[in-house]
Amino acid sequence: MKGKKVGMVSVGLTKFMRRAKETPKELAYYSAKMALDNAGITRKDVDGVIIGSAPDAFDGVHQKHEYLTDGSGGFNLPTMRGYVGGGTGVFSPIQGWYSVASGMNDVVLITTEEKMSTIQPSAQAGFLTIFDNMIERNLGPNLVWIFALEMKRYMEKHGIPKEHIASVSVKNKGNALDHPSAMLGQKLTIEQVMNSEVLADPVHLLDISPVADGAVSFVMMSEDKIKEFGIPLDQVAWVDGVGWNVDTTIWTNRDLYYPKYVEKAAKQAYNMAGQKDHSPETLRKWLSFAEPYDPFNYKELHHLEGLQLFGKGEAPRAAFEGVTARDSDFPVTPSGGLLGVGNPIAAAAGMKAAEVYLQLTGQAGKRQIPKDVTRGLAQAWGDLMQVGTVLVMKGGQVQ
Amino acid sequence: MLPTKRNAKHNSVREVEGSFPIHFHYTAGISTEKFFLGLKEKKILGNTCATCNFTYLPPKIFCEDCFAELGNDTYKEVPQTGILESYTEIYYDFRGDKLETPYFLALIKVDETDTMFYHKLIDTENPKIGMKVSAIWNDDRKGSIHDLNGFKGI
Amino acid sequence: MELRGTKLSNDEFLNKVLSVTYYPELDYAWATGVAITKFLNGLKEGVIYGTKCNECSRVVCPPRMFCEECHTPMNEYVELPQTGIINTFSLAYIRTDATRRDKAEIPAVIDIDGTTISPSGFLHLINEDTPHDKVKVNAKVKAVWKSPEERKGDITDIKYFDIMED
Repeated sequence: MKGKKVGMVSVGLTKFMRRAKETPKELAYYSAKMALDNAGITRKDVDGVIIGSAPDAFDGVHQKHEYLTDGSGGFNLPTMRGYVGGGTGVFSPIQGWYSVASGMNDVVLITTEEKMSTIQPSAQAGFLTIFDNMIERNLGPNLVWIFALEMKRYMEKHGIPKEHIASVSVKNKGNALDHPSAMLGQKLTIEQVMNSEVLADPVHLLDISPVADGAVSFVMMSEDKIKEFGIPLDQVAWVDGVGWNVDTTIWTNRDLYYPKYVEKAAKQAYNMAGQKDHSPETLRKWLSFAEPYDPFNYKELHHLEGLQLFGKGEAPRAAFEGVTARDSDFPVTPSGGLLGVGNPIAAAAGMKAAEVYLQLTGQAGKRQIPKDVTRGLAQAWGDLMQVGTVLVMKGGQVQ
Repeated sequence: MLPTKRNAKHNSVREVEGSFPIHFHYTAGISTEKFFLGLKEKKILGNTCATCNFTYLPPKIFCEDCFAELGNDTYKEVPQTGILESYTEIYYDFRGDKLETPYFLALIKVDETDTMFYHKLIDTENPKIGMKVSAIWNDDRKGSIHDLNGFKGI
Repeated sequence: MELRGTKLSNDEFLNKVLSVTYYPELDYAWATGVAITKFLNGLKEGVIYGTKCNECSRVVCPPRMFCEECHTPMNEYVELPQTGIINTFSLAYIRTDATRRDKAEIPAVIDIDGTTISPSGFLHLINEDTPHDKVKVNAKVKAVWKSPEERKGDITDIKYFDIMED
């Protein structure tokens, strides 16, 4: 591990909602204040603030970081915003890590936020603006098209039955029933997912996570400060490894069946943590569970393969057979994920990083994984499908 | 350089034209909704952080300094007078078209508050920084920033 | 943990709580740049261009001004065949604005023949009158053009791609 030892000591979350009354900065305040309170510190103890938020177009505020600064606790403090699209929510705690590991800051407050209800007539209309204006927009694309094209390629390459992919929606929406932020926890059957409206074959309505409003915050600090504040180690999750990577922006020049950028980001994180054996069997023992990014059900599987946690084409059957259930050998997305808890973009991936913290510190309540958990991973993905961000954390008492 | 309307087309450069088919619906949120409802009643509401002895206008749900939550009991009506702290005269609209009638935008320190309030300066012949100003109300108030027509020099 | 946030119904959100609605008046004119101008001008003439990297010898489509691998200039334009294969496709019932259509349009990534990496090509549409059982990954397709008079140097100068019969 490079640099100073860095621990996450608390998280704060709002509810995830289709439409919030609160303004974006009010949502940010709720989660930031909760994270500070849970850490037992005040804003005066913070010496750096990090803000993560996805396209400005969703909240309808240009330079969202500036707008969110006071709500995120950044008034009169060095504040920065990282932005890698959907990958942002995991990238923000990575920024927290390097700003402390480098010695720049001792205590950082990190807030990820998105208020997608602001954009009208739909979030889809805003997503249009991420397509290439010269040779793609005039074809009338919808963001769902891109996922459909990727999902189709993935299924064709490995001969994956749709049922196997649909099982991820059933699992995650079920897990979300136990998440207090969740907007869409529900008991579903594979048939209900398969029979939901076809939007862009092979993508059906229940394959997709819902757009949302929400915020998630974290406090991270150096080992010295953790001792100084007397924070018990069972409330700490140490950052063990981080990685991120970007593939070509020309997405039609990339074989979509496999996320190489996730593989590169994951290996960077594993190597940083001293884990040099990247075989799936070894990694599934080394990590107790994972929170891969699941804006669509197939993405969880696609990412599990990129993360080297399953061989290429092997994750769908494992999910279908229950291997990734919360009470099984290798729990995946015990939180309920974007599919179940909701997808306020940066805050959604923030929620995944928060789940790793809550599981490792035994604070996940009804969602607590029944087996002992020592190490967990959060991963997100973004831009026009070419960014991977990976965060590995371990329990406070794990060497 | 003055803003200009985009009308010159350069033949040597190919362009693809487009716009974003979106609009925004911003909720006023917790504190600004209270503020707007106050304006509807011809009241200017701020709120005070007792710890920092600091009054925000418009009000906020939190103190940006000590980060305390500012609950319902922190709101209070502030005077409808203040001091002109700065102003500018606007000659062009957003599109770069020259306005027939220029107007003033001002920063006003409303009495008994600690922040600057941004609104129009109206019916004021010779604005001077430091002069006293007073709120002028719109007769047709709907709970928006336009419930105030602006501030006028006294 | 008591989580906060005030959920609103669509009616409350649009009509009940105080709010401000804003229509940004923004228009853009995006310069198409060096390589894509060449590509679009080619489409007007009924030609599909790619570029070749003099360093790594890759031939790619759409053309670019620099090779993202070698980070060197890419200025050798290559006329490519008007055929390719379907790398992946979708039967799409959802429009840009999220409204639904009854008949699917068929977006696809077309892997253009004559390129040296796979896939290398662009997003386009398969003729939507094609029977769905004929649309397959790896099916051979050819470009169907608008008439020369209708073409204006736009991606839509290619009407769509048709499946080639064996």
